[in-house]
Amino acid sequence: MLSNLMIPAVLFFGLGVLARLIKSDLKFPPDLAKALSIYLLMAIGLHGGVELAKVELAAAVNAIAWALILGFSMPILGYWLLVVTRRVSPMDAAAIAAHYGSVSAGTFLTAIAFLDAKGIDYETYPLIMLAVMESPAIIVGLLLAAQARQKVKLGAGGDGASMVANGNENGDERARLGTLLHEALTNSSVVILVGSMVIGAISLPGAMDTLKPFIDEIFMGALCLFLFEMGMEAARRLKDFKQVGALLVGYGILMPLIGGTVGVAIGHYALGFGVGGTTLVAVLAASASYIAVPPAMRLAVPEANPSLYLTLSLGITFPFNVVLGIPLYHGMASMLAGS
Amino acid sequence: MVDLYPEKLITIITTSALEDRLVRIFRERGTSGYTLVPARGAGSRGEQSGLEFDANILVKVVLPGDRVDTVLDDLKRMIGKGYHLTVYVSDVSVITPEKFTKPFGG
Repeated sequence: MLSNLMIPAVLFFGLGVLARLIKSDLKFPPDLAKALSIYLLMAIGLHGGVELAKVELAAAVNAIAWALILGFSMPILGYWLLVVTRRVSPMDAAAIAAHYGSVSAGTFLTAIAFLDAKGIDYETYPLIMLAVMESPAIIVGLLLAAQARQKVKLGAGGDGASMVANGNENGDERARLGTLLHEALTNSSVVILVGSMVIGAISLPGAMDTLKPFIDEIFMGALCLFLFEMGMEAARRLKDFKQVGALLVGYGILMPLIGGTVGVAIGHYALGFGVGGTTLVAVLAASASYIAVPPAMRLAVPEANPSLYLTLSLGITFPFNVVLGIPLYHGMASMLAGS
Repeated sequence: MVDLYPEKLITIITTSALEDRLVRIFRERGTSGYTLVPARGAGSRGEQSGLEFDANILVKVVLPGDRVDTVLDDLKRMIGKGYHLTVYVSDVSVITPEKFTKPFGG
């Protein structure tokens, strides 16, 4: 079990957490995480694109369909679970749920490092799913928040004057949804990932060879650096645990377990992937976004408290998945594939 | 002795996600320009680390006193929708008043 953690990327994540806990003065240059995430998405996109040129269209369409189903249904499930507990406002619930429907590329890449370290092959399709799953949850989150906002307004009562005001607000809301849909679909990770995949797929093989050091050889080192910094960011959130409360901390662990289980089932039964691909689908379903979704929610659901959703996705679910989740989903995938 | 002319300074601290929206307000309200810097700090919404997904900005706008209210009205409307903005207005003196009357960006 412990050997699952003896992977440089995971160990550097631990070092980041430790550095923060012992109050080291270690600080990364500003924007390093941003630069690294651009590089990581570009490299994985190019790598995937080369493989994608060889895949079957029907299987790819099937994977995209399941990615959409996961992306739209996970946030609804997450929202419902939160509303049932009555511990957070509907606005907070909508914003948090959007994080859980979307995906974390950092977690996905850690899973790839895990599979590489164990010498397990994996299908390329989950990479397309990663790109597809960035956006649907943001849209669902917006719709859930708009619905909750409407309920609050109706609850506040409606004389003539406020009805008129509501009419204006609705137009406002629609304009806001339009811009946010645009943002959800053109968000930077989607552009980098999809763009790099297309470039990887259509470039001449000989030309791609010259990129090999960039795509393959320095990739794991860059991932270590990225997880090092993310470890520090996750640990920074630890002190907010008290504020979010035990029930929400439990939610941050329950959601990836549910997502991971659903993901293993979809990867194995619906998509027919091997152990590697099934593990990756589980990681996609289990992970919570912490880069793409928070700014979108700040903009679209200002009523929700950012320290709640950032603590949950970055402080709880991300470390849980990196340390325990990935080996667990891999174990479940092996059991299914073995039987 | 250099002549000094009175102007108003609006300072706004908020999340970087709102940058585009603020710039749109400044443009629509005919301010002569704005200055924006990344910011870090702590407040009612917890500590801001300054990472991409968790960044604040500090925005400064100098403008003639008779244009302050239109901008402040827009900011108040945003706050009414639930956005978190720290806004303060101060009196400042400038040496080139003509610089603050012409709207920016054509």
